[in-house]
Amino acid sequence: MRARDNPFAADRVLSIRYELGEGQAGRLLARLERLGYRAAIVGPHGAGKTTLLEDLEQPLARLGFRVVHLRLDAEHRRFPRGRLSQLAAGLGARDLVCLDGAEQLDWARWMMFRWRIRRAGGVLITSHRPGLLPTLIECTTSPELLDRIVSRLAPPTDGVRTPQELFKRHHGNVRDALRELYDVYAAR
Amino acid sequence: MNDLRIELADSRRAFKPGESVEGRVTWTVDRASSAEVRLFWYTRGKGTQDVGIVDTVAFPNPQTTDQRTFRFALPDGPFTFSGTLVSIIWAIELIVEPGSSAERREIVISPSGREVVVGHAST
Repeated sequence: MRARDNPFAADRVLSIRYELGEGQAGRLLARLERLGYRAAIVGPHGAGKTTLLEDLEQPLARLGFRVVHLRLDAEHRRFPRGRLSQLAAGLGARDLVCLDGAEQLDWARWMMFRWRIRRAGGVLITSHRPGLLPTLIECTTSPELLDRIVSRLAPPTDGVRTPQELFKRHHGNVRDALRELYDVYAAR
Repeated sequence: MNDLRIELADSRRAFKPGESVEGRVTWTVDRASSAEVRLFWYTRGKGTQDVGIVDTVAFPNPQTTDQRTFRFALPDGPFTFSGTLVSIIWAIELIVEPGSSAERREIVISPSGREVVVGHAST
């Protein structure tokens, strides 16, 4: 199958946004306010933390925050030299720093990060582990969630099922499960 | 109700590298602060999506109902391509602001005028 036709192509997968229940977005924002706009989205790999963080950025901007998005991952575990000091110099009460992948920072760098952004009006992070900031929400996955996502991406006539086995094989990592399905379709 | 259209000259969809693509865009929108047409390619596949904007034609003083012509000189590459891991797709897009109203028309750029397809993707 051509990559452009693959229903599990990255852009199609990314078009599936975080599944929030009715009114949950408002409750999350209210909880974030109660936490002083300093909180963490917590969960394992492939549970939707990045997607949820992105989805909350627009409502936060509508509240008047200027959202600054930072990202770290296994290949980029540090901020580019001078990035934080440059950022810190311009931060104020209307700035909200969103850091995706905070677990990449060791304790010393995490403390330095917090110090650098102390003038910001808020900080919202994603992390694999709780404890860096109060937990706003813990992202979880389920075979049923994976099945719903697959159903939205692949036409029912394709006969794709999401076996429990796929979910288990990827230890609940929905992103990796969808990448496996990409390979299945690519070989067709 | 926004209505944006792209018409390519002679209804062509396939081009060879170095050729020109020309056409006409029309739009009817509630408000028009800026309008432009872009020639670009993007990737679709397993990895992170990549985009390259090759040329842009901005239309000065756009009206809410308007039509303009455009012409792009096409580059030598990359060719329109598909493997199993990535596809490179060329397109022309009309964007009218505010509201980012958009219309996109895919084209093919390759020496044969057909998408270059390799590996399993060709079966």
